[in-house]
Amino acid sequence: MNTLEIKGLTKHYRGFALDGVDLVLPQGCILGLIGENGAGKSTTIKLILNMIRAEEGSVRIFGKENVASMPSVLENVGVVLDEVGFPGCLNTAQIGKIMEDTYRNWEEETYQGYLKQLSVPEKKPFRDFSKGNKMKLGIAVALSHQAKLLILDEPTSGLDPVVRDQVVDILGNFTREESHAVLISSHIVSDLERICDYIAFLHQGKLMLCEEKDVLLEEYGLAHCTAEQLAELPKEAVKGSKSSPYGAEALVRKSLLREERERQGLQISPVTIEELFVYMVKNADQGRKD
Amino acid sequence: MKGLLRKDFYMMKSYCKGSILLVLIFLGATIVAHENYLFLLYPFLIVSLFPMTLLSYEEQAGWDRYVGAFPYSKAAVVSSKYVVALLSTAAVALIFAAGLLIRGAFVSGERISLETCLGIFLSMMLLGILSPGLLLPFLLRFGVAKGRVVFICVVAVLAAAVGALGSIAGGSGADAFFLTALNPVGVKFWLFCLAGILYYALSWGLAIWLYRKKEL
Repeated sequence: MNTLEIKGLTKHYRGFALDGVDLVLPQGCILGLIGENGAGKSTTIKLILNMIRAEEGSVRIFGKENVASMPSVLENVGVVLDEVGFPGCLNTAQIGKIMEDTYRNWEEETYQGYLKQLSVPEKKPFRDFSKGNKMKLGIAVALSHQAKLLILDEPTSGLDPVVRDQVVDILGNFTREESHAVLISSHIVSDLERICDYIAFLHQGKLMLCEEKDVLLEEYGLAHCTAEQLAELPKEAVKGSKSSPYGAEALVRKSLLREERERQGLQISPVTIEELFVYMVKNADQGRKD
Repeated sequence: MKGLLRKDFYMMKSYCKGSILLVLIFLGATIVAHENYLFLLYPFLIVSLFPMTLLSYEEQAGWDRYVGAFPYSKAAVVSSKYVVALLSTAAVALIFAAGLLIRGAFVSGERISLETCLGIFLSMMLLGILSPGLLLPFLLRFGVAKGRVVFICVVAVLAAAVGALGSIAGGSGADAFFLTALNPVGVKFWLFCLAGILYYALSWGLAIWLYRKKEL
């Protein structure tokens, strides 16, 4: 069963349009939404949460249409937005009490456990928190009410590497439960590469791809060759390239290059998700200019 | 909505301390300086600002957007502010009515009946809900910055309303209005109450309707 299904999601603003986005997040999986600033990640998340109205398309959470099932569906969804916006005068204990009155399944012990684990200051008012601590508190709240789906918008931004590692581990543990799923957006691609089962690239409001991470890493590679060799490669196999006086490097679909590899002895190295994203975005931008 | 009300309570405790002190000073002055009811306008004006103060701090913190991450309906978000306005106005009206009762018990010739006390309470409530009823739909829909312009208009309307109510009551200005409140036996008084309830209910409904159109 799919925890989240998005079909043809469209929203226009002046100078930006989210254009017919389709996404599927199966139960027990983590989907990483990768995109540059302004790509439409936060808009997509707001549309999922019905914070803004879609012009076209539909969103189904746990099989129910989001507009009709809000806000009760949020009882089972933990959300961390790019800015955790608790009023500045509140401390963690007061926020805990507010959440106890907000969620039917609030677990104070779990909340306290995450606060300790993530070293969130307990006495300070929220306004005195660093950006990282604000985000950690948001994550603790999102994880403390038996949510089955986590929707996280840039949750690791502002966190130091040690805490980022902790958060990534927490999210990994969360999806050990088969009924759980996570949608996480970020431009810190290395974090997503570690934990995601599915990867979606969003660029200028358009979905470039949505695929299983392992399939992407298996299918794509970086070909190291000369400019002449690059020119001879089949165009449909090359998804982006860059040349320098010392040679050329191209993002290629390995399945479309089997013969070339044998014929030219082409060297293809594994690609990271970050390289994949950068090459694809540059290729898309180049294609648009041409 | 309980969570939202608890949050508003914590915020008022933190951000409205000074205002609460001012309210108590003005209330005390009105009770002691008997029949100078003009002082009484200030506590209600201050209390009517509480929802606006909360909304302002919420906007500053980003809560106005973040609230969309929690299982609160838009009606609950709006209603919490209307309930805060009602409760804070009721608290001030109760303190004032109780103050007059206590004064009546100790100062000879100023004993007031429970009926009069109820009249005072209801009149204060009417006065207290006037401003939030006008402001909240606009503040919730358009934000505090644009809502401030509406507030200036509200103060003017409030002053005019008190004057008009006073003259309808057979005198002029605030004192005449409050003296009428002390004698709540006429049909006119209960019509005012009914109009007040209708006005607040309409404002509440309008605010929910407008807020549902808002994108967070």
